Amino acid sequence: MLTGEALYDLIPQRPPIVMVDALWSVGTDNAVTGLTIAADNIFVENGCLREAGLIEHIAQSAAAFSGYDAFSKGLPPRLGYIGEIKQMRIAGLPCVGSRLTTRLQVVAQAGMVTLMSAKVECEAPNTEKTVVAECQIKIFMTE
Amino acid sequence: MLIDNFYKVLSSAHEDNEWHFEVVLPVSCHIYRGHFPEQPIAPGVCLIEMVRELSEQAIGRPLRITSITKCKFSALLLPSDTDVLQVNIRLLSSNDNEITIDASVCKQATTYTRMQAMLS
Amino acid sequence: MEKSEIIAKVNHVLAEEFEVEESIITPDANIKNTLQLDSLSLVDMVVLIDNEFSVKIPSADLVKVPTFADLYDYLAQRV
Repeated sequence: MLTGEALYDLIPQRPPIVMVDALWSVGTDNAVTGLTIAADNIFVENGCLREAGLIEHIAQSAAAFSGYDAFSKGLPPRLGYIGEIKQMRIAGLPCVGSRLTTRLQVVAQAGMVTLMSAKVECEAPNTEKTVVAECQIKIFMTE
Repeated sequence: MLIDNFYKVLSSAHEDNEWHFEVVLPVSCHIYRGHFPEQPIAPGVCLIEMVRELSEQAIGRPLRITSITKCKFSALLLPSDTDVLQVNIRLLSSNDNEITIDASVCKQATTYTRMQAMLS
Repeated sequence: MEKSEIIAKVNHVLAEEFEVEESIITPDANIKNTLQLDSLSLVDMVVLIDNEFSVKIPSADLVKVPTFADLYDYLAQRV
């Protein structure tokens, strides 16, 4: 649906810390995003995306989801911050060249805080898709 | 250091199962070009990575985060060349290959981040 | 569900989740202050109420239930 620099309309982050490069679908309370792990990604170490990069990808996926809502109303993307991460499991560190596909689901909202669940699948070159991370994440959106 | 120049360790101390580090977050770190263009704010994930790296230093071997029970960011942290932050890492348990930590990033009485995680 | 059942269940699940003594929960007490909820933990209460009572409190309705008595009444109309 939206890829690459088109996402700059949806999220406030800019290089070198852009961690989402595709917004595949958006629903009223869910979204699917993507990221292909490049060798020059700032969170890559020894050929793998570190935990911080995985978490930032999830957070920016949530930002892209909220940003799409603003974008569709002709508004600039709102600044959102990670408020809390809960029950996160990281099964492995995906390698350079892998494609991440992340499914987000809004669980609840209270004031400026949105709680979402996230599931990240990784497709490495010549291998099958595996779930690489899951978590619950609270995003605090500013006006 | 994964993110070059994100933090600078000024001092470290260790007693029993607790490690204390004093750090600053330099304003010149290149990550702030993108986070965010109008206002530099220390990315929460970089604080998590900082805790992981300091845990490696404390324990003395490479560590990967396998799970985060809870990580709460209570306030926005702005980089500063002069504000000294305290990073406290408490080892709650250690068996086989896995450790459990309770870590916090504070500036005097203000806690910015509190995290319970397992690493191996 | 009877109102008295609602009151008992609300007090029990909230006390357990937010680690307070049930005895400090009184009808006229302010929920946020009593349970020491900040903006991040308020959403946990919304999830808990949904899980326990199958009532999803929309964000806009949260301002209408500042006290426990308000919450009991809100649930009594919907459970």
